[in-house]
Amino acid sequence: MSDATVSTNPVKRALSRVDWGYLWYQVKKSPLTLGGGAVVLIVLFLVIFAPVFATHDPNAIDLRARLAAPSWDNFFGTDEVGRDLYSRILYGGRQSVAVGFFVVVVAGSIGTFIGVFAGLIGGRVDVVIMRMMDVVLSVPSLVLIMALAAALGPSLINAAIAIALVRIPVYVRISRGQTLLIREMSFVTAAETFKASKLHILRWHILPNILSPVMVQATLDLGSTILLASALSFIGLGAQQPTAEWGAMVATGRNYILDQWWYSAFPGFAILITATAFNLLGDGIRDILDPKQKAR
Amino acid sequence: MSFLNVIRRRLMFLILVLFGVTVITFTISNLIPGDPARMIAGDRATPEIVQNIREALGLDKPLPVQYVRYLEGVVQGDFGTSIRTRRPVLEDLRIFFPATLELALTALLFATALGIPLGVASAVWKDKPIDHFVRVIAVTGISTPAFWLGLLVILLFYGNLGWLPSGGRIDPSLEMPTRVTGFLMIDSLLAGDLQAFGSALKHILLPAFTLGFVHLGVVARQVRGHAGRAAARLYPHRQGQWPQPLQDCLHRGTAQRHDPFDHCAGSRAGRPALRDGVDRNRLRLAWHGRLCGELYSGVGFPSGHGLHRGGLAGLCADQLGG
Repeated sequence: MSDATVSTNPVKRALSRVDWGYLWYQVKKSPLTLGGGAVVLIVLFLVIFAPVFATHDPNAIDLRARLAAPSWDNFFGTDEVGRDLYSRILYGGRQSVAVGFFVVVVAGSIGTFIGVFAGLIGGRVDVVIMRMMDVVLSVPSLVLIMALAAALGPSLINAAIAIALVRIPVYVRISRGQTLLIREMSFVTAAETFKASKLHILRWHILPNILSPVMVQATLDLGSTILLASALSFIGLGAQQPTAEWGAMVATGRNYILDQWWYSAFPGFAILITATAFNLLGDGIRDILDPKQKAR
Repeated sequence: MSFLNVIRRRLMFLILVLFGVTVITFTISNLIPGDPARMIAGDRATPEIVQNIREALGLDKPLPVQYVRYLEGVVQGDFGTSIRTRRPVLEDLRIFFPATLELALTALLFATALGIPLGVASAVWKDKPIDHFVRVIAVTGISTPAFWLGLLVILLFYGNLGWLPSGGRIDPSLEMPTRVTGFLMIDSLLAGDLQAFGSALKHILLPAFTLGFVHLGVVARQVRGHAGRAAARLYPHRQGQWPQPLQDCLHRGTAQRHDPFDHCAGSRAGRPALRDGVDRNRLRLAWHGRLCGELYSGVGFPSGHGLHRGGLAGLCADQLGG
């Protein structure tokens, strides 16, 4: 932490405050977090370099090899038009991971913006905003997401937008609460004494301090978003044929479950592994960064 | 007075929220592509017929007018008529809801019956293998695509083993028990029909397990957290560490064998407290009561939440899947 150059970028400032050595020490102590993080890295690697690891073109149809059992040619077997499931799962991971990050980034940034705004302005604006958020939170989220996705029209990007819209209030709540807390702190009062502008306080005091809980929430959300997106694809509101997507593959495989078990089993297992890894990582990071919430 | 005020404010707020919910529902139902008049009339109906239906339903009026009409109906308990089943929505709810509730309750029973012991065990042996195991179960549970787990258990117990049915609520060859509660398992018992009860139980096992597994870990983690906090509050001098291993307490206890914490409180951890002049019985009572309270408040939230979510989601799935 060189204190000679202090960045004006709040994200950089927040990151520079993190004691990476301590973080690494904590992560090392928790084998599950380490394992989750390792699997996340492996999944990201496999998915980003899918063309390298894939053995077949994910959309190449080969009607002679329909519904073939797992073998050396097709590690996870083939589907009803002879496409290689292993390659499709690798490419399908791109959709799932992309949706996960998209939702977290969009919902996180919009939600944080609204939350900080409401917390700083206060008064009637704050009340109206928070009541609106309460309304959204009081509708069962799955139903709301399904309705929104159906209203926008079934496609993966629309499903992602629907999930992001419904997740916004969560971030609004977190960032507003933190903003209210930090606004009352003595260093903010001190800054105000020196006639610091609202913008200055926002940039130098509030943003760096609310980023950590928002990041924790974002990491925790990644796993559940991936799961939710594949569930939407499963019921036909997400990715459409012939896009390779895990949930959609499980859905088609359902018709063959009793005889060609591999069709549904492998894509679903991929969802399970990926979501578990992200959740383990998120859980671990929460325990480290946000010890107050840690279940003792 | 202030208490009443709080209730009044809460109720006012609830009305506001309910109002917001109707706005959201109404907006979304209008955003969803598809023309309800066309759906009622069918594919071969002439444009005039469709237009007539539209006028009869008031769908030609501007949206705000439609919204007020919809709100009037909802306030009077009229939720409209389902296009699919052609029955009033309230009637549909009455028919489908017991099945949803029966499944949700059975899943909840499974999740709590297994989740509470697991949670307590992981609090007692904190950071020991059982604790890590429960943590993995919990994370796996919330990361499992339930739609996929359902397929796998069908494959195993129906496809490979042939032990359990793959769908439905009861063997179609059996006579449905007379409807009293709408819960097939309770109704068949009331009718004294053990065969029907067995069949209903067999039919609910797989879906209840699938749903319950997803919530099992959540319950266990909540119980673990609350049991741990309760212990920390009661034995601050132990800094959250639990008394000696459970077996120790179990072996030594006779009267309190059913409640290991109770006995632990008396036998070991209670000793320093006794020295401090705290009455042992009172401590034990406090411990017991507080643990129950903690467990209750801890479990109450996620399971209630799960029930709510499961119920509405199931309902929605019913409606969507027909």
